Amino acid sequence: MSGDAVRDHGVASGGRRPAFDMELVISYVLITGVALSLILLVVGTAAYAIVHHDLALAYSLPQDNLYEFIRLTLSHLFTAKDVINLGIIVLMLTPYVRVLFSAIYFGAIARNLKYTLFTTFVLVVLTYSLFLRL
Amino acid sequence: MTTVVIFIISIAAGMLGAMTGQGGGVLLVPFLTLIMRVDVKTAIAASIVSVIATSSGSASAYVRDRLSNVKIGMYLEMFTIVGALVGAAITLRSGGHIIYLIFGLVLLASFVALWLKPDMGETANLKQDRLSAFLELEGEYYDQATGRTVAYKGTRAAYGGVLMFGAGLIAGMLGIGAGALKVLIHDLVMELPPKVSTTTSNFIIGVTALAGTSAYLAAGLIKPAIAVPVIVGVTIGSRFGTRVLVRLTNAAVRKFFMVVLFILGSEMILRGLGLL
Repeated sequence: MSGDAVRDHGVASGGRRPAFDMELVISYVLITGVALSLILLVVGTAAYAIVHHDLALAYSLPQDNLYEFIRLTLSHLFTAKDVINLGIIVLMLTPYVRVLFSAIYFGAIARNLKYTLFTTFVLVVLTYSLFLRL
Repeated sequence: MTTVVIFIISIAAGMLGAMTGQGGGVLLVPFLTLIMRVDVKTAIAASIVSVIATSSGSASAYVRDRLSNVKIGMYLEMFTIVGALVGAAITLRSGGHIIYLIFGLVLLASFVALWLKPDMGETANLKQDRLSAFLELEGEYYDQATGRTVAYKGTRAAYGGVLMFGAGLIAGMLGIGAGALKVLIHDLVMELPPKVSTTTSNFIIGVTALAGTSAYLAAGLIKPAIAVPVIVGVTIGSRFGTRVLVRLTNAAVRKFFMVVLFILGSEMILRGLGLL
């Protein structure tokens, strides 16, 4: 891969496209995450309404961090509740995965030290906040 | 029944928010608290999760079209996420009245900002200070209206960063995207072209909202009964609003929105003072 092809990832204008098109990858990550989350939320709510004969989601999430929330949701058999929870989890992971891909891009492909450090910082703070216990 | 009403309110908030570029959260929280009598912190928590969905949805298109500047976005996210965590911590420790008061003041400030909003042209800045040059805050985008590629440079990276911490703080505190404020910083301080500033602000909002969401999740304030209809409703509303936007005149929407901001802002302040 030539250095030139990966250089103009900022807002490349037409023509040349780098082999790893970061903008396109980020775009797919975002739209897939949001779409999947919405599908899970709608399907889960519909299932919940059928089972409980009520549209009001009368349950609480564990008062805990995302890691524990994921562990609890995946630890038992899938109920309507779990499908809804999974929708919320997917939504929360969407921007996280986006930053993760950006970090990989700046670190491994563009080899831009400055921006690798910046994205890593963002990733560390986000990871910390997702493991937060209040 | 409540679920359906929350869902409809959220569609309305998302639609109006997208049509005016202010985002859904700024209307959603007042709607939920004033109309539905939802606890203010629960409303804020539901709103900030929905902000992840709306901003990521539209950011997807902007990033694909290479309007958002990923580098400028990543640089500023360092400040907004820390701000969002601090903001969420403030809300979690504050009494409801103070939050109502601050929310009301932010709504009235948005009202004033819309009132005074100067019309900015598409002139691209090409001057840059040393820090901004070091941070590679520059890029180019294809302007569909003129059919030209516009090159630009961002400047005053240091001020931009500090102010973005403030924007993140307000976002985390009130559960809103605070997009209008971010755009203002991009436009006036960093001198980015309007197209780049709005789309890059959108890009930043998703990650900022995630930082805030994580704090509200840990505090147990994300209630599915409220959050789920809100997420789905606001997302549908904002998709629809973006489409309607093309057909409606800007001035009419702006005037209507300003009236709504003024009423909601005043009501939130009265609620904060215990008069309502």
